[in-house]
Amino acid sequence: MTKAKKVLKSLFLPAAIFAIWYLTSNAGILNTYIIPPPQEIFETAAVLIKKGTLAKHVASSLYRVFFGFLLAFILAFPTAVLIGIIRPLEDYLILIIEFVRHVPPIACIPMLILWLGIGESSKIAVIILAAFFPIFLNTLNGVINCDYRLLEVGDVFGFSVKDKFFKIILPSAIPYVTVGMRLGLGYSWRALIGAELIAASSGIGYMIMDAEQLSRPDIIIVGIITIGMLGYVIDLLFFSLTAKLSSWNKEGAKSWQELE
Amino acid sequence: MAGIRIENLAKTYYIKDRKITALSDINLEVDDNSFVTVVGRSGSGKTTLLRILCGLEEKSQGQIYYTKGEDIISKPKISMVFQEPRLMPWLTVEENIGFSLINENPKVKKRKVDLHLELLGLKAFKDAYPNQISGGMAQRVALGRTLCYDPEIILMDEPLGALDAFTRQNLQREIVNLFANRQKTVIFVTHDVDEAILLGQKVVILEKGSVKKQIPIELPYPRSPESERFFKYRQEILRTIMGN
Repeated sequence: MTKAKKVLKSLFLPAAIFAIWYLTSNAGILNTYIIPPPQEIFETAAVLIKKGTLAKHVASSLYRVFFGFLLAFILAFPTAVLIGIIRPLEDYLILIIEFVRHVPPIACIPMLILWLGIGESSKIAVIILAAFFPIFLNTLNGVINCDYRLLEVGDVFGFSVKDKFFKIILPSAIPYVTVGMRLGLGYSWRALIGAELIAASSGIGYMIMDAEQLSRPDIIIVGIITIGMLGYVIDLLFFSLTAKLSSWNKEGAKSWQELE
Repeated sequence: MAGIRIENLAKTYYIKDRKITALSDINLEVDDNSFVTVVGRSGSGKTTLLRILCGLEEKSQGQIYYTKGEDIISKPKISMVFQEPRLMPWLTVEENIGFSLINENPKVKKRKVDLHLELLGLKAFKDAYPNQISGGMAQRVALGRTLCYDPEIILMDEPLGALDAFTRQNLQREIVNLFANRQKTVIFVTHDVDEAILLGQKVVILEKGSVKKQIPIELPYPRSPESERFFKYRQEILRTIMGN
């Protein structure tokens, strides 16, 4: 009952916006050339879905996100673990990390296009740049914040360094790692759309850019709605897949909200 | 099974160039299979002593020997129960009990864990997570985890210190029962004089990092704090600690 109520409450505002949008544009208050009425958006969406255009662009964007995100994880996770365990390494890396962290991935797109062209590799590079730091920093945080009192339990049971890592440090870092992955996934989605807007021949960002050139605001709006909905669905999916892993840690769940 | 002989043990450390002596000139004999309690005010070095014995801290001076009767043996399996339960929050009670048995054959592990769940009355809670159980229950799990590891020497650092009086009494009784027929050497640190007399075959009084007095307690288990002899021991220990 409460869950249904919650869903209803969350639907209230979007429904209101649609209603106002519908009424104002059909009453001629809004310029339908700039903001087409909702029914036109639905029609366009139906056409795009029917023709398979939307699916094609969504598929190529999703493929890039997942592939790039996977690569980012493969790079970020072991690096963070390594630095978390061998702390002196941090001193050597701190400047580079802080520097790169503050450069938005989108600022690197022109350079990446010069280096890698407008094909897949430049998009994937942008995603790696966007997803690397949240995964890296949160994992590092998880590893170095491992409770020393739990590590002492490992000591009094005669654990080796390897045992302590796999039985204590890693499990206690998992809530942090999943928070980092969740943030990274969100960041990479945003960065990808940015990259596709600048130079691409497929993807939702490209679809939006192409629609601008054709003066088709309806397609642009369909694109924006698709981006928002897909981002939310991806996040929900990821959360439900990983929630069980860190259900014991309420702090982890909290820090995710704080980070966002 | 193993006992401990401590000779001239000292521990000093520095806080901002100021030398702090945590332990000095400790000489102590703990027989194998005996239950020794250590009492003292806070800051008397009780915890430091235990931490050195189980290798969590380095000693500054002195010798620690492990003995079997008259013989000196190599370092036996030693483990510790901390003041806080220190359970792994991501593991269930059952998994926490078996936490130390990483390289154990799964069948043997299951048998050992089941045995200790039974022994400590934790069967009904075996699937609970540490944040779902009470403090007394959690300390019971911590005790079970250490017993499951099966060390020859068990060090306990005020394991009941954070519990309420009722839970505490129950657990004291259980500890007496658990160790009455087990081949284990126990060093139990507490700041509670009654607890020290209730549990220990010998009470060691620490003060300012040295052993002030050792008092053998010649009372049969289970002991009653109401008895006259118990009262006399209490007087003696309190007088020693208070210094008059």
